[in-house]
Amino acid sequence: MNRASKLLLISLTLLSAAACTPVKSWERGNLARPEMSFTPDPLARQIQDHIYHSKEGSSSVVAGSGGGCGCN
Amino acid sequence: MKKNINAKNSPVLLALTTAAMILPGISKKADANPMDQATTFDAKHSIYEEGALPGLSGSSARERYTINATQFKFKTPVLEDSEIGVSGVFESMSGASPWYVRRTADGKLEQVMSGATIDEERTELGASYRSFNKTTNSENTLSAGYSEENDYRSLSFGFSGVFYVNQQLTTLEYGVNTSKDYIDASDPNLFVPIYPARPTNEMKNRLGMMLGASHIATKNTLVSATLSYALLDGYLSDPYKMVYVNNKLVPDNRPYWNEQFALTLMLREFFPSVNGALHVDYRFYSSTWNVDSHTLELAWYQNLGAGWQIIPSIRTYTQTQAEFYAPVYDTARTDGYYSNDYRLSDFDANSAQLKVVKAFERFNLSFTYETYDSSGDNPGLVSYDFYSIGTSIKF
Repeated sequence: MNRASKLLLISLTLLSAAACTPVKSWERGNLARPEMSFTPDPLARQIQDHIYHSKEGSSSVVAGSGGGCGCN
Repeated sequence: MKKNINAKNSPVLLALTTAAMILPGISKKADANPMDQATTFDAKHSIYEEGALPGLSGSSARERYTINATQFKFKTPVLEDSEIGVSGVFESMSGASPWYVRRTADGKLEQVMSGATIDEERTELGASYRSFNKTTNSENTLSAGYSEENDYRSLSFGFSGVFYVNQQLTTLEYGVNTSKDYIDASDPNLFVPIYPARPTNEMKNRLGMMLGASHIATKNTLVSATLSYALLDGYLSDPYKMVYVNNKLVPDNRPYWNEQFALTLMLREFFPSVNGALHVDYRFYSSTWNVDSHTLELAWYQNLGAGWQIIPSIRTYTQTQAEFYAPVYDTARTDGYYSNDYRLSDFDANSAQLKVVKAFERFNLSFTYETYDSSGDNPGLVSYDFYSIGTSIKF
């Protein structure tokens, strides 16, 4: 099993473990709060990822469009 | 190569702000789908200051980088089921950068910096179009971006999609993107004939793809997993760095091919009793250069009332070195690959951050401070302080 297959297997296992009791629509008020977003501040995420990825070896694997070197 | 902007670009921001204030009147009819469709304008100004390297002496002593970055993002509905967005990043940078690593007379490693202060700017512009399909309960986004600095240009495109399934309990995401980068080193013949000329007219290609899913686990819990892959080919070396091989300086030279994999897991948990939310993000990364890394980020979002929110967070990072990396090479490698770049070394990094947000009726203000430190065997590893002030306006 190659590296990508292992990662896919781990992901699917974790997701299936999370699929428990269905949450009704009227129970999702807290989930809609801004602080529950996966990326509450996209601009902050953009600039900080850019810094991390220009100072560390783990470059962003999928960054959408956008780029630039940011070496040094 | 670097990035950034500033005050001199304020006319651009002023024009965009004005446009943002006018457009809501045009777009009032377009408010059906997607669910979060709204006209918004976000802006942020950040300052990044690297700490001076310890142990530098003589002519190699130089201050590291200071970067000023201004960002904006504006989006607005254009039709009943779609929206457009534009974004920009303007950066200005000054300072010196790591040039090569040498071994001192007493056997210690020392980072030698570029001989002069570098002043550069980078401009990045992006545009996106997002549409929502009621029939399939899905979204599609097209995006394009262009980044330019004096020695580096990058053109990129992306396409991504989202499906809402399982009574909207589960979201499936996919995306592909590609970029083409052009590298033209500054002052290519600066040190000729002492050292070889720096590369010009080099290119780098990138193809990336991702597959992800997020799920509502409980009425207070969200989870997400994303797999991503990227293939890079072309000139992947650093055009400015040099490496000691057999006591002779040669250009940084890395493989022309690199495949990268990443798995990102995220958890969001809301605690009603304390009116706060926990964020846990973990990322595993691996590349065919044998750089493996683990990143863990923990953040706590505490609501304080009257629109105030305080967000402390910590981040820890560890990576292994690239298979061809060494600070200095005592013998030549058969494959000819050499790099002493601290980013390819074995190191750990830790950072702590504090963010304060004050929300008003239609906008918010935020201030962020972060301190970052890294440790390992490479003398060029960075520490830095990061400051940022931002606003988000909803029309």
